Amino acid sequence: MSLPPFEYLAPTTTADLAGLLATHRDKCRVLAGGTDLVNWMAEKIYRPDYVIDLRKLPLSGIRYEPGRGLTIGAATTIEAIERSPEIRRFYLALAQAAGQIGSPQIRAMATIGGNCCNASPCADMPPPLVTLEARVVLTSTRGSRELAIEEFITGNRQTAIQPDEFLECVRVPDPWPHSACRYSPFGLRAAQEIDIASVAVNVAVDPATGAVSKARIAMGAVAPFAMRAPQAEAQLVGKKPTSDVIDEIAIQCGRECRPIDDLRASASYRRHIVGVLARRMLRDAVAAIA
Amino acid sequence: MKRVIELSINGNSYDVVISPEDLLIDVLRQKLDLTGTKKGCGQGDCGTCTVLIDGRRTLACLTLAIACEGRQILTIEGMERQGALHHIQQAFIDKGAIQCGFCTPGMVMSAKALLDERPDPTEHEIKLGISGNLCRCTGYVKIVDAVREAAVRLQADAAAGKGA
Ligand SMILES: Cc1cc2nc3c(=O)[nH]c(=O)nc-3n(C[C@H](O)[C@H](O)[C@H](O)COP(=O)(O)OP(=O)(O)OC[C@H]3O[C@@H](n4cnc5c(N)ncnc54)[C@H](O)[C@@H]3O)c2cc1C
Ligand code: FES
Ligand code: FES
Repeated sequence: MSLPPFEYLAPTTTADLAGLLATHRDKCRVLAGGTDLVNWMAEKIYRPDYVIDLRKLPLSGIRYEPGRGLTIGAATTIEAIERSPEIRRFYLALAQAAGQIGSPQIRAMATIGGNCCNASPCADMPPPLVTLEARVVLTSTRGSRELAIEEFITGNRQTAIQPDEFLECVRVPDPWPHSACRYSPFGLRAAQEIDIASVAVNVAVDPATGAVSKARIAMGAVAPFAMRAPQAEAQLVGKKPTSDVIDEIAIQCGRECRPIDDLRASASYRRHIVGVLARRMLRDAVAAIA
Repeated sequence: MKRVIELSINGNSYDVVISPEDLLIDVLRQKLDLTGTKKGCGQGDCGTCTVLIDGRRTLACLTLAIACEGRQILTIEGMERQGALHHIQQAFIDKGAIQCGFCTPGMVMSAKALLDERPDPTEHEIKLGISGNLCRCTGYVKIVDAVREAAVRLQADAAAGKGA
């Protein structure tokens, strides 16, 4: 399949990038790894006049500083996230999500910025980012603004990005004390699979009482965007995470999600899988804290 | 708008006239006659178009040719040395890891990327390494055997100081 014609631009500074976006706005598309964009252009869903490639820009890199948290440049590859020792140590759910994306080739090409901006309901990075209270930095000639990832992804393939903005980086605060985060998707094969459902959890336990002090649970592929399970979270906080409590919370997650029937799975099967994944991830996280 | 770009492929430099929307897979196959790299699905699923760009596995069907300027591209044609097949290629033949052969160039390039990073991979690592490459024919068992065998031969060469 051939792509519709466009002009190719490869700015070398973020100021130039912002300038090009301000000039071309709706007529242009940012190109990162291209694993979504090239397919969308091949299907003629996007027909940009200008494609602006990020590859010459200093937008990739992972930095972790205790007290200041984690910063991941928008053009950082999924492979780099999967392999980062800091992320594996302090934000395991992000490495788990990255390791589940596509195939080795897709992971070497795809970026975290593309995953967030593409905003697919079954994307793997948003659920753990939601549980880790991640924020995105959006930049334009007008300056930079920061949004919580939940405010950024507003619907199925919809985000709050303005036509003149680019995603500069993703910021994740320091891990909560005495906490652990976990992520698992579920699909029908191990590679190159679109998730039927996925669950990310982030749990902190008060070492004095053994009770859960903070909890965030996010579910993927069961709503237009990665959705939290606020009632399940509220039920978990203040309780000791025994296996009975975890079973109850897991069932509550299955109740709270809003899945659809499609060719990959029925809604009721998705609810069931959310429950299974939530139970496994909560058990793993709690065991890691103890 | 058409323009001339310089691509570095298998150590050779090519001046090629392209449009910005031309995909690397089509430029390789149609403009440069490097037809070893195959185009299967054209959408990132099958892996048969896998090439290495600056050593990293890349799907040529999702890559703009124009974005490859200034980078080193390695295709299946660049694997042989002075007329002799690379150990990975020879191991695929010796282990019967090829039937129709359509997936083979991509499999070999994925194996190369894997063995460059992990010279002595476990069976699980080999399976993960080729998990982005689909084969309709072989059932994968012999492909995994071939990658294992290639690892042994490459390590023997390295130990003998011959390099890859
Ligand atoms: C075979 C295959 C398997 C896949 N498997 C998975 C999977 O398992 N899980 C999963 O989550 N995804 C999967 N994907 C989807 C895709 O790989 C990911 O969404 C990927 O992270 C996209 O990143 P990219 O860098 O390739 O984005 P691109 O394709 O370059 O861009 C995607 C979109 O985001 C915009 N964009 C990118 N970066 C920026 C930026 N910095 N600022 C503003 N806009 C930007 C682009 O304009 C475009 O609209 C798969 C895709 C393929 C082809
Ligand atoms: S042709 Fe590129 S992945 Fe199938
Ligand atoms: S040998 Fe035929 S597809 Fe693999």
